[in-house]
Amino acid sequence: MIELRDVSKRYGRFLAVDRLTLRVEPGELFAFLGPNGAGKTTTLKMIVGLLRPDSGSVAIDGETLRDDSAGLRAKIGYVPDRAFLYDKLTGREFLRFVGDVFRLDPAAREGGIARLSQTFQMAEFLDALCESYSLGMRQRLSFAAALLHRPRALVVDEPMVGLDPVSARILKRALRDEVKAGVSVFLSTHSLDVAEEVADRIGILSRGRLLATGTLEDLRALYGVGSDLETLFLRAIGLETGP
Amino acid sequence: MRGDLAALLRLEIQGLKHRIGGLRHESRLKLFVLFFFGAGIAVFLFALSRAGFAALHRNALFSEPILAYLLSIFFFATTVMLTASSGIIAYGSLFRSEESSLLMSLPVKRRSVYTIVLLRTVLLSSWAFVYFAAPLLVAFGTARGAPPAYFAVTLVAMIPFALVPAGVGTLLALLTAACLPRGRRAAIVILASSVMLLFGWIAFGVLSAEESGRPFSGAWTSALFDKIEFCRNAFLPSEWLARVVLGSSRGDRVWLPFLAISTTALFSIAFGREAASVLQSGAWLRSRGGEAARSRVVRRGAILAPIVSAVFPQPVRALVSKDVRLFVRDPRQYAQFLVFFSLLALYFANLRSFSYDLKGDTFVALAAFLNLGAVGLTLASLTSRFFFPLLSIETRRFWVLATGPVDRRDIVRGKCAFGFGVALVLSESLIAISDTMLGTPPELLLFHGAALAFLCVGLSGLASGLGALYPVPREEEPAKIVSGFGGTLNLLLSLGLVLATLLLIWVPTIAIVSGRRPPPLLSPAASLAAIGLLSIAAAAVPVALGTRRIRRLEV
Repeated sequence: MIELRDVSKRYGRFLAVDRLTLRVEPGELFAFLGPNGAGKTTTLKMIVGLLRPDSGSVAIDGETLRDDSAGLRAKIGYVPDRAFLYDKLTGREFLRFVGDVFRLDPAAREGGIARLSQTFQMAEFLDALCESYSLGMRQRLSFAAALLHRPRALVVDEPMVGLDPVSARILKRALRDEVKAGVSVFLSTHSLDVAEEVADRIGILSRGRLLATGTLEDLRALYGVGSDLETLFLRAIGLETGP
Repeated sequence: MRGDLAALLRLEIQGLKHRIGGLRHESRLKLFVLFFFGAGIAVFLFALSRAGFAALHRNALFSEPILAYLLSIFFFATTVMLTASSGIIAYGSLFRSEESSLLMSLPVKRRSVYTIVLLRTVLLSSWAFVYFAAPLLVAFGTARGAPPAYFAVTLVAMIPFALVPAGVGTLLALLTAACLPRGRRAAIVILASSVMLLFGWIAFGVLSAEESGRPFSGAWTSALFDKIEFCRNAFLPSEWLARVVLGSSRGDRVWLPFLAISTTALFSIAFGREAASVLQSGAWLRSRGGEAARSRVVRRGAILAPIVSAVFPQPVRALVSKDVRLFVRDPRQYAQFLVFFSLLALYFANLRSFSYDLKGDTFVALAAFLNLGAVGLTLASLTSRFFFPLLSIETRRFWVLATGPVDRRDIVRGKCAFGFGVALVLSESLIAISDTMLGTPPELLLFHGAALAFLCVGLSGLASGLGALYPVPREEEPAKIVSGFGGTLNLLLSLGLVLATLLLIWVPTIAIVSGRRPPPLLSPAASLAAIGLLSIAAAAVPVALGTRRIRRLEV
């Protein structure tokens, strides 16, 4: 379970996230929708501990995240919007490195790599240097790295940007598999289609404030729109008024 | 100026303005410390050079012919090193950086891209030359009683002179990429091998001079000068600068060599620009290839990494293992140092050719001491150039490191351990060769070995601690990271630590070689204790501060 309680974050005078409170249950995929600069990435970085909230707290499975909660961070998997990899490592070496950092025993680590290599169809390129990877390959490897230690909470930032249909399909399927396995998935996306396709619940964020949360049906009812998620989104952030 | 070059220059100037403007936000203490140490090292170098020239004067070696040789050799060696350094920096900027992909995708003239890379290369490769050569040349001028014009002319002449090796190095990088489809690996190997061959040739000349008589005898000196006469070739820019320096110190007009340097600099830029307009696009495309070479690169480091890292507990082991692989697979990072350390090893291995070991205690002690100094200074450059930027580069991968169950202290410790390991292996091997070839007593080898081990602790701690304290999170290019405030401070402190260590080593070295008993405060044990304390403090303080900074770092 991922829980944010009254979380705020400022960059100088700019309030990036404003008293955000929400909860993602185990076995639930929560999609965070919002325009650029809404505070999505800042929120995600606070969940994984790359940024420190100015106020409020983040909890994973009921335990509050602090600077020194290394054990708690082992429950989280994170896929950033632009994953910088070590160009001079092969994909397999990178996954082994991640496994060692998460202190997996060698058998579990190698088993995990084999499992994820199959899930993300990486066998063909896993032993090549990361510098030769395409965007889709890099993104699949990042996902594998985030899932290697079997996290309880998965935080994913803009996973589908620039991906080919094959890679996008693989990643969407992997996300749903994790949800089925009881993982709490927190996904940030610009893509309304992705949110519609994979999310159990959607939250709309604008200027750091959570405007609405609910299932797609809840939101449609709230904003009085039919099946058009784009209209719903624009109406929610105030760029389009109702009929 | 109009067009794309003007746009690129504006971009550089704006970036520079922002960087300078950013200094206002730095703490005054930080700026004061930088200025204080920067000025302190420059004054120290001036004093050291002045003392060196005074010693030459006392020994009747401050004559024009000898000075002409010394200046020619100094500027020639500088030219070779600056050319190699520029070639490596330019190759990275022209063909491997993310920016190069952006620029190549834009309708920017290739010669403009080349020019802007060349200008950056000059700044990145030559600032240290200007910083270190300026006090030496000022000391030379004052020792010679040069007129005021000498100082202005010499300092101005260093600018076009720095452009020549940068121009040649950048052109070599372009030609290498254009002619060799294998990319970086071949480029680095060719550049490094060329420098090695050149220095090897010089070393051969120096060593074979020994056949002409007793070292430092008249015949020997004459034979040596004959062997290195090529450094004084009238067509070399290094010789022109030597003539500018020597001539202006006499009060002569030096227009001809000055104009020769300036026109050569302009020609090298113009020629490179024209070559780039023809070759740059093809070279860039070729540099993107090399898949077969990559598979060979994979094997490098895969065997070494687990062995080196085995002594550490997890997760430091994982971090060190990863760093070893990255280090071994990226020759850009170590090619220059491979050249420097190989040359030192070559020189040390041939010490007996100079018969230094037979020249008496004082001479042996002096040679052993100077060799240790050379190793220490090269180590300081290695830790500053390679180990300092490691943490800055790592911050871009914080999505995997800092979100895992890793104590961020371990990240700094891992860098420190890695730096210490590499520095220790290189320096201890070199000093073992040096002291063995000089035939020093075993106690001296132990003493030097222990002092160097402490120095490695200090230098690697300084580099990783200050690297964590002053990270440059969005920069991927190590040369740019080290040219910032933290990198400069690290270089200055590292040099200070090496010099302090050398001061503490001198008396015990003499004592061990001559078998005399020094005063208790200057005994080898007391000296080692002082070096140990100094090095541990030099490592512990920045590591503690850097760890605190990295634990609170938001990315």
